Amino acid sequence: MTALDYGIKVVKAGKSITSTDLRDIIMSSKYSMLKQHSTTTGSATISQGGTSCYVDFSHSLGYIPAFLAYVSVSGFESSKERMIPNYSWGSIAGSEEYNFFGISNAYANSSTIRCSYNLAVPYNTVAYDADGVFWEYQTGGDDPVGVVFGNPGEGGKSTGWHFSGVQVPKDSALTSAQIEIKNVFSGPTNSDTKYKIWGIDEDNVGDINDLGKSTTDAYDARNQAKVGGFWNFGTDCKDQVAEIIARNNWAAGNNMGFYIRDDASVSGAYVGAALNSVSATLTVVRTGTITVTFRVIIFKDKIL
Amino acid sequence: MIIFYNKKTRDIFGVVDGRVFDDSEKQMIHPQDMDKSLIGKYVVPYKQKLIEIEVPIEKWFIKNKKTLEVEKRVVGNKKETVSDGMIPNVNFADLITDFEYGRKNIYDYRVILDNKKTVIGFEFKV
Repeated sequence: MTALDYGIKVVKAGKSITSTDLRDIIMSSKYSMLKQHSTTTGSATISQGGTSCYVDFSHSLGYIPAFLAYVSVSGFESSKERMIPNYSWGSIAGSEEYNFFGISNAYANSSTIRCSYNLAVPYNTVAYDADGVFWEYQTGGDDPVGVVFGNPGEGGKSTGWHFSGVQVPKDSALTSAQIEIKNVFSGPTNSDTKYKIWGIDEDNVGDINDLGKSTTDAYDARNQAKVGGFWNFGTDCKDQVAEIIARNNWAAGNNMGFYIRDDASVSGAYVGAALNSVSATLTVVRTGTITVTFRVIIFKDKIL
Repeated sequence: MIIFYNKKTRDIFGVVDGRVFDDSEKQMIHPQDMDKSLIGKYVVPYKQKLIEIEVPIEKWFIKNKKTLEVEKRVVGNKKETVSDGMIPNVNFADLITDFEYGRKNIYDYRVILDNKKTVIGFEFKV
């Protein structure tokens, strides 16, 4: 008998201990094996606007153990568990577009295994740059300037803003909606500029060439204080967006429009913008939560 | 099985599989979005399941007096109590077993707590 002739071997019920088929063997001292410490699942949530979550799994091993980790995301690829790390993308339930990009990661130290999940874009959040603006008042020349809203001295002036392909499903519950116009400046007077913002009450807004389109019942009336230098103007439009997406023929991917109208501002009170550098973004955040579930198999075997 | 739940919402967010732990007090699952003070932990108690089986009574007999060859013969039967593994030592043991074997998804349930905040069962989340 040589040293290679003895050891411990356990085979499946009904199989011969002399079997050389590895599929019959449950355990053999001939081969090194990982020794399982625990199998654990844990979940965390990412709410609208959020981009990441993690779960800490404690272990009491006192050293860095070998482990395997898997992840699944509610509403995304049901009944699948992806091995960590991974990069996955696709559509999530309830969303109309290919809008889901997630990255998972995991690490271990001597007391904890942390599994994390990160979204490339905030959950349930879509943002679109304006692709058309109607200026009621603008100057000519090489560096034209327009009035977003207010009174440049020739009476109240307004603008219309057009956003294409807005991926918000009909009747979605909204957390927020906002229009941000970048690189604006205030008129010379210290008085507030008064404005009202309406949505354009159409299913799929075409080019905006005037201020005559019908508007939503919902509007906001606000005062904008004078601000020095160039700044970014932001205004809430949640109620207007909610009214538009409640229309019978609204569909995700349709175009949306808004009017920002002067509301009897005094002469010299306005918010202006250089037409060559102005940009506007509509950001809509839908209410919702995804649950990210991690599965971790921890081994007693030390890797460090 | 160790079950982790949110003390406020009673929702289950973590599970450690297994029936015997030598470090159950050290086991912890902590999601980022939950304050540690809200984490509830329930270590399911287990007990040995004992069953009574009939086992043969065997005796050795000399088969060949010349060669003194012996053989074992069954002379009767007796009843013996043996272990048939571990079972949850709670009155909702069947549900725990369903969770263990994946017949029911534990995350579809939330814990039921009594006045002392002790887990006394599970309810299906509608």
